Amino acid sequence: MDNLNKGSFLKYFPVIFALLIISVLAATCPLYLAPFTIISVTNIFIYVVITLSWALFSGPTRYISIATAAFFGMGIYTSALAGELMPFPLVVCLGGFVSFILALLVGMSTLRLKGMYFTIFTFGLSELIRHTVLWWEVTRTGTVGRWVVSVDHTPVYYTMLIILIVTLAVCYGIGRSRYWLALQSIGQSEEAADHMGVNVTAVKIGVFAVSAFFAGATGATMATRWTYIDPSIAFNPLFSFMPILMATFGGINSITGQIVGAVALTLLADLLLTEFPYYYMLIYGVILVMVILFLPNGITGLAKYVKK
Amino acid sequence: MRILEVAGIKKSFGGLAAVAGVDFHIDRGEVAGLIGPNGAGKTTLFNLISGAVTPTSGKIKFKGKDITGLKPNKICRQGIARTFQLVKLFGDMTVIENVLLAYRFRAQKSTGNEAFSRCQEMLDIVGLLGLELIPARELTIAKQKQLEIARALATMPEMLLLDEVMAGLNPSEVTKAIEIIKNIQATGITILMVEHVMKAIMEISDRVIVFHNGEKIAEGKPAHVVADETVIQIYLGG
Repeated sequence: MDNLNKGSFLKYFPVIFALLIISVLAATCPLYLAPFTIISVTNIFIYVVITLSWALFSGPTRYISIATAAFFGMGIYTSALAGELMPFPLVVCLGGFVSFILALLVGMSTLRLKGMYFTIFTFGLSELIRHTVLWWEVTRTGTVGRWVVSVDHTPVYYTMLIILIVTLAVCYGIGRSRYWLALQSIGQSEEAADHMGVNVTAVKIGVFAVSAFFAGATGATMATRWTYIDPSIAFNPLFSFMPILMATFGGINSITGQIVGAVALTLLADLLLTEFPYYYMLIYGVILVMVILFLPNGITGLAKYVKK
Repeated sequence: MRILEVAGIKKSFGGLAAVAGVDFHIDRGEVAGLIGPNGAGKTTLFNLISGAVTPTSGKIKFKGKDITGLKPNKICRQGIARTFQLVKLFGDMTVIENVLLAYRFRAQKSTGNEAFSRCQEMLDIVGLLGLELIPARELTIAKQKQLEIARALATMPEMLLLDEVMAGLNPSEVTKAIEIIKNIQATGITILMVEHVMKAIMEISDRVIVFHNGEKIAEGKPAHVVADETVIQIYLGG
């Protein structure tokens, strides 16, 4: 047993060492990197967080949700409304909490829907919320947009870093618990999972709400960088589709794949946007179609295949 | 001692009564066979007991407790496990993960880190040891049915509902399945099985219940039941 522990320590030593270096770099980089780079890195963090949190629920259960924009947008509006009332960290937590509650309510009413019906509903939900907020702003407040209390890019960077670490920890924790088996079993045969003692409704709603928390907290954080928001910015459907594309692109079945996908596509989008501003969306689209057609397990799936 | 008591249970789909007010009981430790022609309501009865469908009327008691209308996961945690006529495995999960899921969501408290080896014991009972890391969908149909039994056992049930675990098996696989069921009974688990393979029914049932058109038409020792005029006429054929 002792030998085994020693062996596994040696085996994991490079991983631990690499993690240590990454943490030190992540914690100190605002000290020596240019603001532009910090903002880019923050941007990557956003997409990694929403991809991880989306895939935590939709990956194993195969309940494809296109509601990330709704939860992200709820966070943004929480930030706009509460930004002047309380300190920034509280605003972020509140943004997550509001989305968590919304997901609980939505989950209770809709997770009995399956497959395509669930997917369409979640898309409808985002649109419904966007139009409701728009209607409210036009008829009640008289202006469509809102100003958000601005926060400097360094605290925003650290906040996103913390959200990222917590998201990773939660994904890792759930991934090693019995709930990971439960989520997978729900995706394979929900009826059988129910018969094996899994409270499928509670597991689905619970994990759906947890994943919404991270989207909401991220939205609340990012709103402070945009300073001006309106319903079409806050509930932009792009935020619903990006995590799906990123997870699929990288490899939906592993945390590594999801991170690789989010980082690669964020960098690719930045690169294309600056190098080929006119063909950006065209090239982006072609690459995505190619990956989905030829690499069903994403680019990490390809890496495994090459190794074999 | 009665472990399961079913009183006046009825389930109608639209105007059709799939199960039309049935009374019966199962004694602790016995193997009860449930036979009858296709469409007699056997699987619906299983679905009623396991909670997959809620009855139109009637009561089901397990260990003296009313379990009518409970969700399947609650009933499972009371101690009733089942297999499915059309195999419902977690196909992309490995053999051991299928069993681990059931084991880790059982009602009894966990006692340390023995989950993996306990699940291997379940696989050993049904003869799947050594196939732990294969995705469940890659197994043959006979092995998939055995895995369903192992998965049900991992919930640590007191009663097991087996829905046609022998259908589609060749004679030597049937012999093996009979052996497995005998071994399970020997551990003290009560078994209610729906089966068309009469060899199995005759060999392992302590008692046979015959269903026809949603009603119980006969009940008794296997030898008596197969000699019954009505049963021969309706089910076994003259």
